[in-house]
Amino acid sequence: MTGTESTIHGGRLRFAVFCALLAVAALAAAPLRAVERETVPGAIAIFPLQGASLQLNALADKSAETISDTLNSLGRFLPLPAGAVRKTMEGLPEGYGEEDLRNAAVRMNADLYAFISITSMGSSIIGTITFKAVSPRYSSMNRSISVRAAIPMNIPLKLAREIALLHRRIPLEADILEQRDGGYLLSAGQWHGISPGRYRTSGGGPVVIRNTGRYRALALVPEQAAQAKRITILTYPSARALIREIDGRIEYNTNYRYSLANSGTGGADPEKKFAAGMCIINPGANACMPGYGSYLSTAYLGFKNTTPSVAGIVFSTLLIAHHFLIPEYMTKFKINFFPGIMDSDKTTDMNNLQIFCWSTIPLTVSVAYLDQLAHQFKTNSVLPPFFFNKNETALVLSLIIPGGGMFYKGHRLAGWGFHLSELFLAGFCVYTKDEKKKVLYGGITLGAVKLVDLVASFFSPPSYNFYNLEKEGRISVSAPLMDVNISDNGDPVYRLGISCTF
Amino acid sequence: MLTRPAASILVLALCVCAARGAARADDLPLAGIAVISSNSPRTVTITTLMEDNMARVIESTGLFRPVNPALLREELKKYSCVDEQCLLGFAADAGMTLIIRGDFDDSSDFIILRLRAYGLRVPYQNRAVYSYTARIPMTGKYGADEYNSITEEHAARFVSKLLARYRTPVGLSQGQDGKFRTERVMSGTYEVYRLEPAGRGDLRGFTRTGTATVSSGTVASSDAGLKEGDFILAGYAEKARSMEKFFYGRKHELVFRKPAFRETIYTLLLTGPASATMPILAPIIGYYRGNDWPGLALWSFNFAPYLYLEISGMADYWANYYKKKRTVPRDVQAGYYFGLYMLCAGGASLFADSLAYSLLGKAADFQGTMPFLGNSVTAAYLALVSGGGGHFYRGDRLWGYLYFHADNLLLYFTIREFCPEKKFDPLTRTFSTAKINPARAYTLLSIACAVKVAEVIHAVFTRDRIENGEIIEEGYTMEPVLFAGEDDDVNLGLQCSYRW
Repeated sequence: MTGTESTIHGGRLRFAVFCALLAVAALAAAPLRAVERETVPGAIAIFPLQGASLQLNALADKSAETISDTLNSLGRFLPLPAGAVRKTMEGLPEGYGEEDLRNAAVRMNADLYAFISITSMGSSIIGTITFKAVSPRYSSMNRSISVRAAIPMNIPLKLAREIALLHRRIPLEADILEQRDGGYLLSAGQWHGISPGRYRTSGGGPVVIRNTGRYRALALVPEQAAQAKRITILTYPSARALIREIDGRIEYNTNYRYSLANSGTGGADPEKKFAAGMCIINPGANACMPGYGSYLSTAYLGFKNTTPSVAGIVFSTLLIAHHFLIPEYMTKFKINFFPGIMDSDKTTDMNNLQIFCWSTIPLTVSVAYLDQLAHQFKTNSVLPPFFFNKNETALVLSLIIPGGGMFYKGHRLAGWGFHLSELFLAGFCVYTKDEKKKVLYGGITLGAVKLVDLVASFFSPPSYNFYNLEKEGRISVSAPLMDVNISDNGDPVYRLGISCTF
Repeated sequence: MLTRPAASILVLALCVCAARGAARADDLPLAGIAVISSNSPRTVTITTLMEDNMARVIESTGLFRPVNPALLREELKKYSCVDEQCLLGFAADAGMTLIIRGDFDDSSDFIILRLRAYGLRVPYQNRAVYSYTARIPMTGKYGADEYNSITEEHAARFVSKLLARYRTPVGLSQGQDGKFRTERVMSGTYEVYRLEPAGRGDLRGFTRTGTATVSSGTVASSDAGLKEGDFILAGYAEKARSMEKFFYGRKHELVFRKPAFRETIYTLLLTGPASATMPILAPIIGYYRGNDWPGLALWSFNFAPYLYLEISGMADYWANYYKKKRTVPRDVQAGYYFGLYMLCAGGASLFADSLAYSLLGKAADFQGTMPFLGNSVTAAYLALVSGGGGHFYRGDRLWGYLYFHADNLLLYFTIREFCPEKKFDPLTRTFSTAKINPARAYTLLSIACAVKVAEVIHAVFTRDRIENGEIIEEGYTMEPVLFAGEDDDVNLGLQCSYRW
């Protein structure tokens, strides 16, 4: 054997030894804990059902991912890894049905499974998640939840929100795995939302958690529960913070999609245009064409199509005219038209009223503008600027302009109602300012109306249908119900009603 | 042929092998970092930067040795070991003490960053130690440098907050002299824990047995009945604080020009014009131009009463009362002097607010180097001459408006107390000066001075608001609960929970 052969031989030998070591290492690695998951009751397999459209399929996958994240946050049902679910679905026969999904879930050792289907109906998309229990322990979870939205990315979030709502009343059920020195090992831990401390159980006695891991806890449990090998701890998932977070994301998507910056032609700063429109453009336009100028000013914001609200223009024009003419009506056109110029027919009170009427014209002009804007927002399916902080903006608008917040949220009739009431009462106080009693009553009423205006502006939901569609909860199905029963005395009892899913 | 799980474990084990060997050399526990999900090209870029920065920051603590993050992530992804259970199982097998998982979610205008650290050993035993969610704005111009700076800042912030919570067991061993000593030199009073016997599962129980006072690594006194194997839990709060301070200083140097006295002189020279023009310029060139709408709303509601005082005080000049032979009320005199103050200096604080807030926002997002900001001398000067000016300059609106109102009200009433009423007697047609209440006047003056001194000191020590992004604290939620129990009774209560 030559030296070279020896080297080659030695190299092969080393390679063979290395391969053998690799194999041994691999075999040794197999039983390691990484693949040995800590069993957690309530494992759920989430199947995103695939349809004809690529977009809808992607949406189903995204929904499954979002729902998995939500379930992980809530700590009641542990989603099986998406990769494992995907692999299992690849093995399903063509045209698989619910039974195949169930069998797949059983193979994956899931306690329950859910499948998500996404369909489109007109401009809306409907997402449905159906829960089915594999283990009879979870049969109470059998249900189906449907949501709809026009913005695709809101479907996963709305499904997640409904699931979070569903969890608010689900206590923690844990298995008792083994006994240790007077304590017990539970199949629940930090992931489930428990930490060392004392908790109430459904059986009556308390459970004392001593130590927790991520999915396990050491606890002192009541004797009754120890015998049953199962314990129900009366602690509930913290769904509120999660729902708030999901709502925030839905709000962001909706605002992003329906913002003027995206839907209009006015550029990236609709807030600046809104402010400039209110302070400069609209007053200028109304100085030239009272009432109609408000409609013309709306184009400055960059709506794609602007259509006038004729009723709003007519009403605001008449109202502006009334600001000039009310003192004249009241004195049968005898007094000087201009405030401050006194004559023998113009009393001080009337002069005060005239000054008030003239000085509040900017408010009415602003309201006319907000009214036309509310009409444009509705017809163009666009949300007003600052809608991320809609309640605060409505409040600020109502503070400055009577009824402004209601117009901002699209409630035009209520806006006009507040505006007219507040102007009338303020005018009354000005006109009767020397009669203390009348001013007092007028002032109290004005304060009360203003307060209602502010509260309503802040708390009232917007009236934009396209926005409300994104914010609504699950689709509640209502169906007529009719049956006939025979009562104890033999008479038939007819029942007619409507059943609703809440 | 290897099965997938076996192969994954093998490859992952090889990944950490080198780091583990090195860690043994340093005797440092291993920390794994894996930013697993990213859903856009830019988050893919940020992922690498985040991992590298996180590894660097972790290493700089001197407490852990990071595993090569890119390699770890690739392998975890390749074998779909991305769910929490698999990740924890892997980390435990690889001998890690800490594993940090990161996820990016791109939402166009901003990126959501989620980081979560799990402790693998006692006392955590796979529990999440700290969870961090931040909303990072993406509305400016961003390149590799900005992404690098942003990720470094969040990594540093995460690690410092993690360290503030992190505890490691320090074993107690009995020496020849019968005294118990800690594994490393430390001093203070600590709680003593004892491990319970191991069972079949992974979770080891441990109980608190008492407290021990440790002095230079030796237990001086204890009520715990110490045994070999007992341990105490040591924290790293001091290290966390110094780390946080270091990275704040580093960012400060990066986004602000070096503080120069010249800037304070300019500010001093501009105070008068800025204050006088503030009612017109602040809303236009400050809030409107900077799209600072909340600032505009706050400005209008907070400034309106003082604007009224300023205008009415200047318009209703008290000397005219002498000409008209009318009594000069104290409010009129106070209004005039207060108006002068607001005109010459008092308005500078809101001028500073209108400009500083948006500029600090840019600094926070690493959008260039900001002039005139970050200077403690300027902050002190603004706090001295105007109500809340120093805090507005630092970007702290809450304290700014608190001082703004406190200063202005105290100043107005102090001036009012020092201005005696000048009564006009119609009979003698002469003016007589009424007496002031010196006790009340000097009390108010003292309070005003004390508030001003406190404000100046507070402004100097207040940090500039240059944190990038917004930390979304899921935090505690309190909610009422009402549910029916199995025994038909109704349970009513209040639930307080914290979600990880």
